[in-house]
Amino acid sequence: MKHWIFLILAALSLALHAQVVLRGTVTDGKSPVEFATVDIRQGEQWAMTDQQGCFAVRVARMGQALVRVTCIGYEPLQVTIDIRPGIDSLRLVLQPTNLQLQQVVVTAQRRTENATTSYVIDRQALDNQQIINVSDIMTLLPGGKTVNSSLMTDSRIALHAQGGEKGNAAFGTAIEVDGQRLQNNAEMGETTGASTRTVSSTNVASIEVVPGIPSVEYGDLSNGIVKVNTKRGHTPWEVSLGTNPYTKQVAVSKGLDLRRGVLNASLEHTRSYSNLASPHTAYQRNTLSLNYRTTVHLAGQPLMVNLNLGGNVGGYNSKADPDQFVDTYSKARDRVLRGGVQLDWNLDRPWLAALSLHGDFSVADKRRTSQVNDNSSSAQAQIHARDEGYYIATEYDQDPNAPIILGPTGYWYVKSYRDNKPQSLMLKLKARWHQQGRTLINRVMAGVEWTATGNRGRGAYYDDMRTAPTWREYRYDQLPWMHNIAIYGENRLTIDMGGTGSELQLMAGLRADITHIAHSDYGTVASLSPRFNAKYTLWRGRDEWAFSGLNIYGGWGKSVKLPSFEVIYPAPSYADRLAFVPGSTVDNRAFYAYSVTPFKPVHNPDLKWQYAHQLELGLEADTRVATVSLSAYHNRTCRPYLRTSLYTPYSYNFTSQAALEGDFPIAPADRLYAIDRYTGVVTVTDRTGQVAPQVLDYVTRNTFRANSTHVNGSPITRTGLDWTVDFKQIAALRTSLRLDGSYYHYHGVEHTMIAAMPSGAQWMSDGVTPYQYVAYYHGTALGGEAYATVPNGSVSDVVNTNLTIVTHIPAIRLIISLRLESTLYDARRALSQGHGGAPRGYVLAQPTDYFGTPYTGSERDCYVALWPEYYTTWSQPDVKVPFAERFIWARDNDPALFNELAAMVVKTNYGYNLNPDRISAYVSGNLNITKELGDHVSISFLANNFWNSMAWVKSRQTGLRTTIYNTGYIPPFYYGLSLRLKL
Amino acid sequence: MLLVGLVACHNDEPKGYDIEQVSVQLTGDIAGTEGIVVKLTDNRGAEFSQATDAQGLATFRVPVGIYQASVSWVGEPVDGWRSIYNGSVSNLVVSAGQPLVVELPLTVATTSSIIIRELYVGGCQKDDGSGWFHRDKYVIVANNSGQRVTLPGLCLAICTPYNSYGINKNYTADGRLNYEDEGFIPAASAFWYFPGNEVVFEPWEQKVIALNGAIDHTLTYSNSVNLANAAYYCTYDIEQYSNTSYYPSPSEVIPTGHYLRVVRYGDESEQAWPLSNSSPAFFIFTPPAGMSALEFGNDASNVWYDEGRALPTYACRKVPVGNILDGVEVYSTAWQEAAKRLTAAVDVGYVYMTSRQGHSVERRIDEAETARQGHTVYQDTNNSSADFVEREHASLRNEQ
Repeated sequence: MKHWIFLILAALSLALHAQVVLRGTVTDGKSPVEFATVDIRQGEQWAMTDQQGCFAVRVARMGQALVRVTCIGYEPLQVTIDIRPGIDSLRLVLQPTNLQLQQVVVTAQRRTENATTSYVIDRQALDNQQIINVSDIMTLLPGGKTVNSSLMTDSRIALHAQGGEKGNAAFGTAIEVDGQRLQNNAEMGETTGASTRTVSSTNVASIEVVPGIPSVEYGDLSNGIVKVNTKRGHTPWEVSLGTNPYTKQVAVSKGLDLRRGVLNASLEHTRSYSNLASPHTAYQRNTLSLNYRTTVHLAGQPLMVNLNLGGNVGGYNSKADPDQFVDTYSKARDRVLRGGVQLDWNLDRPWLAALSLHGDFSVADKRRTSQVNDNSSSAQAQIHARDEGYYIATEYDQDPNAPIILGPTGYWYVKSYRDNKPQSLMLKLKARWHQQGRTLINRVMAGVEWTATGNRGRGAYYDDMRTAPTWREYRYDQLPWMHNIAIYGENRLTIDMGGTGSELQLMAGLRADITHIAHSDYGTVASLSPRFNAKYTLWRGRDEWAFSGLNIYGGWGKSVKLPSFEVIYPAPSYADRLAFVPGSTVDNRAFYAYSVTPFKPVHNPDLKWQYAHQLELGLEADTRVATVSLSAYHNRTCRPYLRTSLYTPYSYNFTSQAALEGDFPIAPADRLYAIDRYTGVVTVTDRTGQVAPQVLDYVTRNTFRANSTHVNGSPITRTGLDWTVDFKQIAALRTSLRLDGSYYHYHGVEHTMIAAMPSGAQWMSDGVTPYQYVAYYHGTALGGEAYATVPNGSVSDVVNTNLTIVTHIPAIRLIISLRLESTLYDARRALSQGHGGAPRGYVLAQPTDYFGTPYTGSERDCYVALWPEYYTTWSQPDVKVPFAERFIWARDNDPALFNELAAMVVKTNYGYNLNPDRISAYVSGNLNITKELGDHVSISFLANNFWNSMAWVKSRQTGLRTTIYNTGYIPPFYYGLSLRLKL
Repeated sequence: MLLVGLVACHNDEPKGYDIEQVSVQLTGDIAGTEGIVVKLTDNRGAEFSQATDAQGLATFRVPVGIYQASVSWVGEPVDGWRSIYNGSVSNLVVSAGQPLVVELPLTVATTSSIIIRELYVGGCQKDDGSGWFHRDKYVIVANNSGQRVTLPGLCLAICTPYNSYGINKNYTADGRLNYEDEGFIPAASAFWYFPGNEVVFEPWEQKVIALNGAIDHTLTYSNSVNLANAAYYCTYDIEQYSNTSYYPSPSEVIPTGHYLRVVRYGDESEQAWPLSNSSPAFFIFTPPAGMSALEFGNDASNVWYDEGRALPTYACRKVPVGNILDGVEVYSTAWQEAAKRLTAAVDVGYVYMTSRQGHSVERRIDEAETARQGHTVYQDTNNSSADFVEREHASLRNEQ
């Protein structure tokens, strides 16, 4: 830390130097290029070209500088210029993006200028891969696996993670579109990453994936960030048509020159379905995106103005499906309106280099509607009571708002809604300073950000209470919004280390998040996220050397993920215990009475926000034969959210209908039933008034209510290595090779004590007393929600390697890429471990046993039983009874107690469950072809798993061989075609 | 009861063929019983029958060929229980000039006069064309004798897989059920039991047990049945299986004493007993001596796991074959795949049923015994292939 402070002070003490103005023009060789961005030294200064393609940038520091020119429709241009006074006619020529270029990239490329691991996927790669859903870009990352793109599955991006793991990596992966975060915190019913189905895939210009340690500018994440950039700039009319067996797509876009700025408009319609024979049930995406960008001058300095407005109208709909029963359907809106404004003011003052203001909003409508047909020969209790007490079913015509409605018999329809409208607001102000010396440049960034997330949905509701089934209103729009204020500062120091292009970059930042949840027990919570990155370029541009360029980088960072609404405001649940029911009448109606007990989620004052420590180390080398990139990481997710249950004893009264038998004085047809809301005592009144009211005897049932609460689970580690080796093109064959891959290691063991009741045995040995014990186990296997399971963790190691062979023939504007995807090593194992790897569980000689020898982890092919550490009873909930001692005693002395306690013993499903597993290697092949027909037409074809592999793999865990055909190992054979027109 | 339904009876010596003598000697408990019918069947379908002599020997003179010798014989009822003897020997090569003497070992199974007369689980079509309704299941358990039978308890159980077409992982590599030699049938998930310490069946009494809703379903589903009858029983233990859609409150005319209770130990569902709608292996049993049904069901040491999967969902109780009164193996006509779940000691055969159309499976009437005893007697040879028939309409629907 002291060292860091020293560096900042050193940087701030740098002497300022005189400024020069760099002037020039950008053309495509023939005509000027308007709205091209000329960027000096990674955003240090920038300008935009005018109608004549002219630009002027005020540059403070002399000497070598990286100038980057970007404009949609053209290949980015990077040149190094020796900046000195008098450069006023710099000519920069951009090449249009097409397959006539000598260098075309159809894979994710490492972004080398960053001091952390990041990859960029450009439009050509997206077109070649025919991406339908942005989440499918994972395919293009090192070691990525091809998926058959469709909108019917709402897959979410999870960086550096795999399915079935603890820690909710998808929820921790942030996604931004043009700087606007796709928020998922206010979603109810799920705690996972944001959906990308509403993001137009055809309007994407490029995507940057940062699995490494991002700038402190980015918060509310724990597993990296994906930044989507849409098309901006003056473009021709572009029409895109795509088809594959399950998706049809049409899109049109245009970048209009409005003299003072450019308006980009994009319209896309995509329709996916899952049943080829009946494509009526479909998910549709209909997006409109508008972006206006202009540059004005304020106080003599350029101010770039970006205005965004876009959205999606679509969703899932089965109403047109003729295979469904008449008038039944299911619809799910997936509508969203997003807008934002971004102002970037290049002040270029000694006291302030630039100022950015960014504000955006998002309003989503995800209402689900379904109409189903229903029928019953018996009237059912439709419980809507939300307050604790006893209630008896009432005919709808007597009281439409009764806590329990006695439902209909016969045939009817039920129309239901789940109104879910997550919303978010964001406002961000960011300032940058630059200080420069002869060998040093220091960039300081500071910002403040406010975000607010909430939900304006009504929750679930029904049209007609006469037929509304058991359901409780839980209005999302009454939940307080979550506000977060972040303050952050970052310092980036670049030190010129000598004449070989050697350079040292040091970056340090600190982010403070202050989260306020109004009217909540959580109140205001603060967290800090420090992050450090360093990159050392040893040399570059030494083409005569075996290694023409070499740099290493590393970093450490902490990032905090804010909780979701599901964590903060879990919906209460209800225990509806039948308190009484008389026999059904001749028309099959029975007046059910229930004891209703709401189970409200319990606030955990000790709950801390989940965060991650990320550590990474990377290397990039340019050699004569290949460009090599290595990126190693070690991520530790701390305090992952874990939902557990708290069991509280309570009692209710139950009246058997046997109380109505014998010589009960009131005839069945004359009985009117009532139940006392507070005592549960049932009274039968004679409709004729001839017999006095009869009070029925009852019994008291002692049981538990389970309140959910969130706690912080045990940490999880993920370690890995990503590599890419891009070999130089074999000129004679016009072919280049790329070898990329990833090694991934996951380890997670849960040690949190969790409470559980055996679900299979709810009653004591006497058959009439509810189960009286709550068991407490060491750990749980599943992430997110705690259950009693033998495994309490897992470890996995996976090595994926892909070989991409790209043949690019500019003369005929053709590119063919063949990608062989292999999984060379895929090992995983469920773990049952105590603290420090101590034995946990017992190895059983037979699956029907309950006693055995301690499980150490080295045994194979054995059933393992887990005992709870202790249990509590209904009558003494605070007394922890050691399970082992009591269980052994009961075995020898009390068969009834033994049977009751045996229900707490959980076992492995099969004898092989805890065996280490390793799947033998497998491979699949994918073919992508893109051909341009002149300057206006481009066609792409893909064939995934084109040889339709039916290979077999062997599982070491079970010893069984299974085919990989139609499994999750490789995608099913699939093909697609897309056509793009530029007019 | 003697099996006398012979397809082709050739007691005269055939002419024009090489004829040879075959002697079949029964072995086992009834080896010395006279009058047991032994059948010889050749591979062309010709069948010869002979009754045993006092030494248990049946002697045939048959054309040379390859034969199968078989016996299926039901003893006289004693205290409500009867013994069923089955046995067969295949690939008997009868050659000219070589008299053949073979031993035919018989296996014995004990069966009760308490039988499953009819099982209706398949449901029927709804009136609005929206599909089928199946919460009107019932079983009729009958006393197939003129003697009063008192049982120490009566339980209803099912074996796994719940459907006959489900992949059955309880077979060994040699094609045998892995519990076949253990002498038990696994009762999956839970079983129902009659309340009280004993269950009495009067002579020829039939007990109708509603297996879901003991109400008049015909008010909504005209193809269904009316189970609102004061004489009927029902499986209703609403504190255990709390889904009132599966278990609506029984008709108020049915006394609570007719409610069967459940003991759950397996499948974690609190919704309903997982009785197949298409093809159950259904059986009835009495608890082992000295145990109540509840104690038997709660006995954690008597656990057996379906498919060898040691999760609570797959926990079963081992019901000794000797305690099983009757069983019926139902196969689904909708599936070609099927595997036996009940061992030969309980049911050597199976009966096909079409679900969703109001069909049921019902025992055939033993015409000979009915004629002899002057009362309807149902056929019970421990072989549902022979004993049961599929009805186009459940019998209770016909009675309406």
